[in-house]
Amino acid sequence: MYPHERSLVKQLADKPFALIGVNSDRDREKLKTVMAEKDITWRSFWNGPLGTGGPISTKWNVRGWPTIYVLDANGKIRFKGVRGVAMDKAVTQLLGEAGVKVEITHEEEKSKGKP
Amino acid sequence: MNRLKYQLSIAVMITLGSLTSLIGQDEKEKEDPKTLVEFSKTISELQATALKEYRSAATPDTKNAALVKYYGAADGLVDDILKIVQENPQDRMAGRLLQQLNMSRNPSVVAKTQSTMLEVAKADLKGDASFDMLMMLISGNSKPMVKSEAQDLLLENFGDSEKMAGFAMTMTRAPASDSNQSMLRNLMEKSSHDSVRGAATYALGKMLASSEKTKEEGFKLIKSIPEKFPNVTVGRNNLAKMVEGEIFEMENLQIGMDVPDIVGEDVDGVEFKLSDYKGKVVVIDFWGDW
Repeated sequence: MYPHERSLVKQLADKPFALIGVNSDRDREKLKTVMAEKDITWRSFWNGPLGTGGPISTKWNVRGWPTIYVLDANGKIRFKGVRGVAMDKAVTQLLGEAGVKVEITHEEEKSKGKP
Repeated sequence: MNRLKYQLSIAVMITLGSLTSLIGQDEKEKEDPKTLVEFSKTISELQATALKEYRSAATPDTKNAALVKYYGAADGLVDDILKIVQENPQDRMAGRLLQQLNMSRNPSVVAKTQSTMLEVAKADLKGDASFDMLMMLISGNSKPMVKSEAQDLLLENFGDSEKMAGFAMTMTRAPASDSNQSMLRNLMEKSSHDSVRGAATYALGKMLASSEKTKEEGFKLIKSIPEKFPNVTVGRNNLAKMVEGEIFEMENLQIGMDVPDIVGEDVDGVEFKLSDYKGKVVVIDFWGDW
């Protein structure tokens, strides 16, 4: 999960793209440490001390984690639940619609190969 | 002949073992009566061992073996347990042990268990035990034939019971077959209990909402719940409160809709808004580090 998103964020750093998290860890201090350790550079809303029962995920009726929404540049919901390669494809398509051509590859993951 | 003797002795044992029993203080029986409570203890011990093995398992194979052991903890006792259950289906332990047997990965254990459950249910069709057995058969991993027989019996004998609310809720994720739909529709329209009509409305709504063709009708049903059934509780939850999130999702979070704004604090306590990112392609990721 993290390596894929880290790579996505890094590759699209200069493109009109943002990955926004809604984090449901209860302990905010511990979360800060985790984010530093795992190099989670993207910004997240914090869902509060109730964790998965916090206000944002409750309002959005989130029942499973992770839950993914992808928005186009006009703020319309275009994809739900896309992960990994499907997320890359969705983002590539929507950036394309906005006139920005990108090709997403994940060197880090590829070079590791299968054990 | 032998079988009859055995069954009689089991019946005596149960009478002896039962705390609520006022009769049967007879001490003629020499063997200690085995009760479902004792079986349950044995099973719990086996499960505790299996759980330890699962936690310390080094390979997927040993992990899986521990799981099979865990789910099959009652396998060795299956015949004894089923005999007692047949004689005394009201035993408080019976339901739990049957659930356990029903989880087994051994098909012959599961088949035996399910046929006993069906038999017990048929023996006293209006009784509480019957309802419980039928529910277990419907919600468990039963064969389609067994499931549909259990479903028919349930409707026939408990159709207008308030207990059908629980049944309706188990249908929430059932396939949207014609028979399932008409059954829920029937409960929704004809039950004399608010809770059953509410639960059936919810379940039918979810069922219809799961398919693109019938989505709109499903949404309509679920949206009608807060007004029609403001005071219905299912399990421990208020149904109207429960569907709030689902209604928000239906009305605001469908593909093609303008995303509702999120205003909140980031991890450092700095306020920001989703709409700050307008003009960009955005991936929203509900995540947690666990």
